[in-house]
Amino acid sequence: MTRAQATRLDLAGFPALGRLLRWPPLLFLVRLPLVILFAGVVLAGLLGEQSPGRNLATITVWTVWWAALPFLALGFGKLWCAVCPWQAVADWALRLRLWRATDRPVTFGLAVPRWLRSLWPAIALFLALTWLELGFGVTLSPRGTAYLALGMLFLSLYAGLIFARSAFCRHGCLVGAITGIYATFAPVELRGRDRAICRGCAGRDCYHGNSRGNPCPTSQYLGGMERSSQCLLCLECVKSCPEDNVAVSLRPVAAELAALPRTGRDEAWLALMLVGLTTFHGLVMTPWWGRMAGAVEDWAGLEPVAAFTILMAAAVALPIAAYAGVVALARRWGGTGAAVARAAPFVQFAYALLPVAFFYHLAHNAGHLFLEGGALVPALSDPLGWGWNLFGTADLLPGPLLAGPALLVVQVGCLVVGQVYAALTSARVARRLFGAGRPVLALAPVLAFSLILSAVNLWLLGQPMEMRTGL
Amino acid sequence: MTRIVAAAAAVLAATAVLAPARVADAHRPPPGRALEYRTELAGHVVQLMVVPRTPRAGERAEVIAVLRHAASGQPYRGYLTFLVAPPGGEASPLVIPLEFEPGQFESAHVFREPGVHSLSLVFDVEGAPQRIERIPVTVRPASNVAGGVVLALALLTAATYAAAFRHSRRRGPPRVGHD
Repeated sequence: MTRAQATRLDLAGFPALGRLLRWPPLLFLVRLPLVILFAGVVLAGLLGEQSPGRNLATITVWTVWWAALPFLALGFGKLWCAVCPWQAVADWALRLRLWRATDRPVTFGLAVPRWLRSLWPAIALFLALTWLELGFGVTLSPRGTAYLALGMLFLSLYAGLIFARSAFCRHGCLVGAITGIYATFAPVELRGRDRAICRGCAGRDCYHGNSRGNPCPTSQYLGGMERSSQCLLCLECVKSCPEDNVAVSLRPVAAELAALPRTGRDEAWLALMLVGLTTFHGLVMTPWWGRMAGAVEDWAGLEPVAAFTILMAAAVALPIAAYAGVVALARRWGGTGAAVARAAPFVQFAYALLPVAFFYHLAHNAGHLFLEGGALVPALSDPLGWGWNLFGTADLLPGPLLAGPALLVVQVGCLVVGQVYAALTSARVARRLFGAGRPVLALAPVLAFSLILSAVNLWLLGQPMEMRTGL
Repeated sequence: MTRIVAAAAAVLAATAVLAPARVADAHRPPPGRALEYRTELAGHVVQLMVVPRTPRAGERAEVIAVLRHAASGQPYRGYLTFLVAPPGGEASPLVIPLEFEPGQFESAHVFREPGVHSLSLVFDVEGAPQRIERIPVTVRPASNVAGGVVLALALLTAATYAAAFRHSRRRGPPRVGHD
């Protein structure tokens, strides 16, 4: 048993749980209610009262789901991808099966072009969604929210019709990309139980699929899988593995970040964009934003949307530019010269800033969830805002679950945890890259930068925050 | 690459840092984007705005009021109510407006039907209600663009699905696995 395996608890190793995970209808039964809710959200958005605080679409999507997503990633990694309703509909339509495997999916099965084989399409979608969310105000538009949901369904289905496997999940889905990089913290992983068995497997059924399970939607091969960022937790490999060699394990929190087995340039850019955009999210919801945006509009004579776009571009570019300077300094002070590949510090230190972004994201969203989450209770009884009272809760608006100093303690706690992980990861990367030189000096600017980012985020948490649904 | 990013960021940063020096009133829509109405009543200057200038039926609009004392310039301290009457209908109050800064109030409203709606404002000065009556707000019919795009994408998906279905049935099952 390796050291890593010793720290894992294989849930699939328990006979009853293993049987449940291999039970073909399991995923279908979990996905079905979410698909029904998805349909309800679209209908409520299109047909219901166009008031964001009273419509099921805006409350479910922005106040509950979008706010809870990082918490889900923290606890369960990419579990959302397994139950994702738009991919569920696409899977059912393309496979023409609800849970059984098929060898003839409805698709042209083309290979994804080389220039699209990265996370850049997902990053572009993430930027577009942030612009729609904060600049265009789609969070305040039930109909816009419904169109966005239909847009995701279209992208997922259409990519599946053209390309082999779930190309959209792997390269295009912003939700998958974000939960994928956040999954480095999750205490859940799916891996090959014994790599030697995987290497001896001629059929590679996890990759190709068989009569018991579909091929891996994101083309993962369990014999070489080290990261969870592309594992959708769909359990197809658990069903298809002829050797019953797939472990679904509990592991220490942030074990993947600590090991940092494989880093990608596109993923590092995603981490850096998250640093800028999570802080930007917070800034836009403070009273300062109105003043700043108004000032830019008046000064440059711009429409609000143009001013917003410029400020958003600045919010993304500024931290990245500062980070580039910090990394250049770390490289110079680290003193290993040409021994370290030029791009390596830029890519690897980006993962060290990820905890700052992730835990600020959690802290910020905790505000939304605890302060606004109660809006779901009346919306469930009156999903269209037409005056219904289906469950007798239409007039019930629970107060904040957590507010004031208690909420602030939770939020500040998140920032502290994020900063601790950032410091630990920075130190690990500095040792790995500059171990032969001066790792402490290389660490200093990165650590200082992460502290500045955390201080800015802390200041933002202390500001009054405008809510998503205008409550 | 890093230098390009740094240069671009420097330009954008200069904009972001210098601009707040010319801080304007928050939430104030730029000229031309809002329907604006200005009057003086009971010693108060009242500025009323509707954003966008001509809202669409079924879409969210914002109604903003800025009130200040005419002589002192101090912001209005008290409560106010917006009322909206649809074409040929009775006026009803909007939800309690949010006072986002002293004397500046905002309320979201969805104008349901196209036509000319009437917006009124009631505020209180020393216990006496003051009314600004029947400011006309023209509401355009709902847009069909998004619906058209959805329909076009649905048709495209259906056509591609039919073609992919024929293709997959002609191709037959793969020799190895499903790939």
